[in-house]
Amino acid sequence: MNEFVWEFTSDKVRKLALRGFRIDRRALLDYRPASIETGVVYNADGSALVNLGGTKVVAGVKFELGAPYPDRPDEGALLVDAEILPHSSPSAEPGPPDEEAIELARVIDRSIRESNALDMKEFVIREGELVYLLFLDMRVLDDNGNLIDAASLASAAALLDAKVPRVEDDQIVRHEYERKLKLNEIPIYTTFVKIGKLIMVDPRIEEEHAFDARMSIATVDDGSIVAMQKGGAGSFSKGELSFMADEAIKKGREMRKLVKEAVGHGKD
Amino acid sequence: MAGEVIRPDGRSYEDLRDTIRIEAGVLDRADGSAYLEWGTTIRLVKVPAQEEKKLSKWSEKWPMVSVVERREDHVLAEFPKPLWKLIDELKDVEVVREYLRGNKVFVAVYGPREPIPRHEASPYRAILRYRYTMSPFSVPERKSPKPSRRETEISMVSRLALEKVLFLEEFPMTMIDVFAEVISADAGTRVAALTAASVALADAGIPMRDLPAAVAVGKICSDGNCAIVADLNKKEEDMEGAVDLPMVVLPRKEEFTLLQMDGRVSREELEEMLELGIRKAKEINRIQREALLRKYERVSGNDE
Repeated sequence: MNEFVWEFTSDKVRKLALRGFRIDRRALLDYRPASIETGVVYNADGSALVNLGGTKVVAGVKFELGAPYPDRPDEGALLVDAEILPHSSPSAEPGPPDEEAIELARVIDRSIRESNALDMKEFVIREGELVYLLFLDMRVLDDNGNLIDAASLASAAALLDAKVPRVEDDQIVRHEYERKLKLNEIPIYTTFVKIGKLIMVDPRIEEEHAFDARMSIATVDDGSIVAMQKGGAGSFSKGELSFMADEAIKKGREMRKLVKEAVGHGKD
Repeated sequence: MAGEVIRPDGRSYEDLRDTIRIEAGVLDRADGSAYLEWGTTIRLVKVPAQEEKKLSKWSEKWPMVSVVERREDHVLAEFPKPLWKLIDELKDVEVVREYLRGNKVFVAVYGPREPIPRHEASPYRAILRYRYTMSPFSVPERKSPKPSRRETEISMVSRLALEKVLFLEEFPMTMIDVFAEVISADAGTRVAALTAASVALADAGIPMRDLPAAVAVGKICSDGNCAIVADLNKKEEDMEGAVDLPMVVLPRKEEFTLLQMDGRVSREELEEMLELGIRKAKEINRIQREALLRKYERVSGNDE
């Protein structure tokens, strides 16, 4: 869709918001339906395909071996990358990741790192010499809005699905596994947008083109907030932030349950 | 006289892999799209330790029967679909789950649309772009997300395989984009991508002279015996002396718009392979057509 069409739909979204409505008649704090499928990529050590209201993201976990960072000889490494594929919308051009894709990767990275979801010390094979490198790659296939939450669900599900491969003679034995990847926490982002005075969760693409400001809050099960990212040029009040923090904790618990159910299904 | 060659997943020579599924119109934002799965359906089976002897005997014969995890009193083993009958010969087993070991590809088509960069526009025909990429986690060793030389070459030969099939002359000053993302790979990804691309182009409503179908045929050898086979999987591609010949076939004209090969074959073998390829492409073509028909059944069903 071109600029003109977005102007038109944005206008409609904003007019509806004045009356307290959303363009898809959804309640302000309702997510769109989400489906999560894990174990979708044979060669990945963990993987998930998420469809959040038409926004589709595939995430894959792969372990490789390498040297640890010199300042952290007793820890493995986590490397997170995201690409917004040209499949995802007419405006997504092929090429190296743009600022939106890099933001997405960094935002997800922070939630995993800061929640201590992974025990990086478990990834050491020989201290100072050889450690596991955990690569988490996300590919956006279809952008119907709210990439951050969709990517967050996909990466959480892929990590929960992941197994640590067996190592023999300092080489990974592909398709043979040592143990399940241990996750201390499951960080989940909840994203809100503000349109006029209205705050709503899980924005669809039409709402993303119309918002004043965006707020993404990552929470873990005990109700702690582990990462945040504000987007858009508008501003939030302190009151609005407190409201969103409360809601993010609640929504985070619901979505975490959804992820766990998806991963638990029929697995050994 | 050639003896028997056993395929690692228990297939016969001319069989395509056991699972080929295509769905048209899976992406909302693209003008046309398709999702394709092409591979071997695996059953992960919990096998008690006392049955392991049988397993290792089978693994030797069919390498795709393999142990993936060892526990105290049992192992987890994979069985490819053509060999599921073996599971019945084991005592106290439990099927844990099923999954696909194979190719999974999402293709999006955009256009005809305004070309980028604009100076490349032609007053005579639409420009066709084809971009084949692989997800970093799709292959055994993580692939860097940077475009590789391999992806560049495959993109080029794939574009050329489709160019003459489309009525590009109907859309001067425009561009048609085909984007193929392989999220899971197990040999034959370029033909999987092209088979899906063909469906995605039709789904986008781009006029076409035929619905090209892609397939790979080849030759595998073991113990001095060789066989011409259809649709090599990764295990077969990696066999010593394997020959792989991916192709795109126009099913109506029985002509080839993509043809590559690596390996060594005789003139007679080449002929045999091309014939097998045409037959198999026609099989693929039926699956493509069914996918398109299913989409329109779905659409008209929604109208009622």
